[in-house]
Amino acid sequence: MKEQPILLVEDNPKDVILTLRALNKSNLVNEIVVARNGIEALDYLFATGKYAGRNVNELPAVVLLDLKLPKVDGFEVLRRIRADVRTRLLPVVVITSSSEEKDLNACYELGANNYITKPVAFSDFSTVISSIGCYWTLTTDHPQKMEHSELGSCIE
Amino acid sequence: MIPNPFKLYGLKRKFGFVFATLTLLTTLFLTIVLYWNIRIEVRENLREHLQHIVDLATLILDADDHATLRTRDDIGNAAYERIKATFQRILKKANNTTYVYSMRQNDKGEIEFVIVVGNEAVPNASTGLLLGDVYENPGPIIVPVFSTFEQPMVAKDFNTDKWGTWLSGFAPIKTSDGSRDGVLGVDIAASEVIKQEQQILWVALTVFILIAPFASAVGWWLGCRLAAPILSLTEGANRISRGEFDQRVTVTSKDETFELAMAFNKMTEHLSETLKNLHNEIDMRRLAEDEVRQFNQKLEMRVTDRTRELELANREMEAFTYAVAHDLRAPLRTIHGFSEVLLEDYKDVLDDEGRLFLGYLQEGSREMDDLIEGLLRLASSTRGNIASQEVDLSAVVKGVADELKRKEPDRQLTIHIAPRQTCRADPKLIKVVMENLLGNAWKYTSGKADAFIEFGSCCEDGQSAFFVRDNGVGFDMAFSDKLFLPFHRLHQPEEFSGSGIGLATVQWLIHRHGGAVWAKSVVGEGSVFYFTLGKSD
Repeated sequence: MKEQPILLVEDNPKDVILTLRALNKSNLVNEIVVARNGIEALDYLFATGKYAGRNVNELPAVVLLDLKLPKVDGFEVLRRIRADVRTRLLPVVVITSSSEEKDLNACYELGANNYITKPVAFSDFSTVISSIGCYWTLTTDHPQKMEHSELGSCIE
Repeated sequence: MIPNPFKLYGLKRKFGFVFATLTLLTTLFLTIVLYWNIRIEVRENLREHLQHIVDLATLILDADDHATLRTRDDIGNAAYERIKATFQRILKKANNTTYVYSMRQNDKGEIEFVIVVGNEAVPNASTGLLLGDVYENPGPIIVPVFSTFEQPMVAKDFNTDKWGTWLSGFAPIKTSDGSRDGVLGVDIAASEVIKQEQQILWVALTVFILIAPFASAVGWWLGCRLAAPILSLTEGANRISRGEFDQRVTVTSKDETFELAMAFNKMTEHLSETLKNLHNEIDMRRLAEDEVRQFNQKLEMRVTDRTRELELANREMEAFTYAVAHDLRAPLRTIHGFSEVLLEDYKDVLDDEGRLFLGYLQEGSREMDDLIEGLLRLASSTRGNIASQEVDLSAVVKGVADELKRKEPDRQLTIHIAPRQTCRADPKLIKVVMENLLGNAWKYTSGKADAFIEFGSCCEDGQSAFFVRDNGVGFDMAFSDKLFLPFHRLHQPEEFSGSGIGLATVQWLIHRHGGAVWAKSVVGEGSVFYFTLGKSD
């Protein structure tokens, strides 16, 4: 069975490199699709623009979403994902530099599954990225049945 | 309950009524006294008149003739007729008399009549009494003194016998030899006396009835006149109560009411003057109030403007801190991340010094991150509203202490938290305060073997304050004024890490709660941080 891809929405190319490196280190076999802004992300999800022709029913396992994006920002992307019946249940993890409570609350209100503050220290960042990547790719079908032992082994 | 109608009337009526009644009663009393005196006088006159008649009768009566009349056979003889004519003469001359008669005492001690003559002018005056008829029940006046009295006399009061009620005069009949033959009597009918008295009564009543209205009128007028000054004063008071302060009360009499009126006028004048002053004062105050109101309006407008500007500045500040939070960290992450990558992927290419420098790079970016975090906290502590509520400070401190212990479980130290310490504060902000104060205590006791941290409340410098005490390195009190300035540190970074923003944040938060924060310390022995929380809502 083909693994579902992970959609990484991130405008900072250096963060993209670091995130990809962290995800690769956690031995995930999923394809990682990178969207550099909000429009690209929405194009991919709804198979429009440069992704026209893509099978719209093949949804990613999880969307890792930065909030501060050019053109259409993370909040808007999240809002549209939740507004569309096809992507309404798609797991979205917000990964951002902002530790503002206001942002956190707004994201959860819009229906984010998780909210992660990017740590400055790379080692911490790696750990966080690996664990969420691992968690959401393994539990896409049955989020409630996630076993802690599986998560533990995944992080190691 | 029926109200007393007298209370309903005005003073004028009351006075008039009382005085009219008084004069009427006085008149009545005087009339009665006058009538009584006249009546006594008239009766006395009558008695005198009777006395004269009796005196006269004794003089003209031939006592020796009278002494000869002894039996019924003597009726009609010359002596009898002479005496009878004498009696009739007396009756004719004396007005009002009804009977002239003579009596004598017989052997049995009874009083018997000799000759009785009735006034022809008086109807039914004939008694039909003849010589020798016994006088039955002659009354208490004549009986006791019949045989003893010497001078003519008139009875003090009326005497009643079987023929009627009389005022009687009596005189002894003495013969020429001086012996006593009998008693002469003259009667005036009581009805005659009473008739005269009644006439007087009628006159008195007529006089009273004629005088009464006049007396009442005089009484009424007098009462009204007496009430007039009081009514005048009342009218004056009423006018003043209506606000006519220029009115004055006029009283012509020179008695106490005049003094009262004068005092009243004086009082009115004072009142008028005071009122004028009061009005002036009110006008002035109103003017001042208007000015204050205008000033307040201006001030309010300025406050509104300033508030708007401040809100704008706050929003800009918020946007700025947001940018700092997000954008300043991204390059830091890049620096830290790629130095990590270098250390991992290129560690064989680098020598020891290179790896050391990369380590410095990472350390520097970590410190920068801390600094940003501190700045964000300071910024967030300066905005937003304070939502004060009752906070269990002991519980907050315990939570913070537990968190510190969880981060560094290997630290050996004693933390003592006083129980049941409560305050009114914003729970989130007061937690930040406690995190900073306890975090500092935690940090600066790190070198101590018997580290000790204490939280509690006490009375310091005359006010109740909370405190956090530690036995850490302490600081030099000479620098205590720099303690709460942002980015000022009293220790070398090699000794203790830190951003230098923690205490600045604490001071900001405490000030925003209306409280104060200060510290005392001895180098090498420890520090105490005191803080108070004002009444802020």
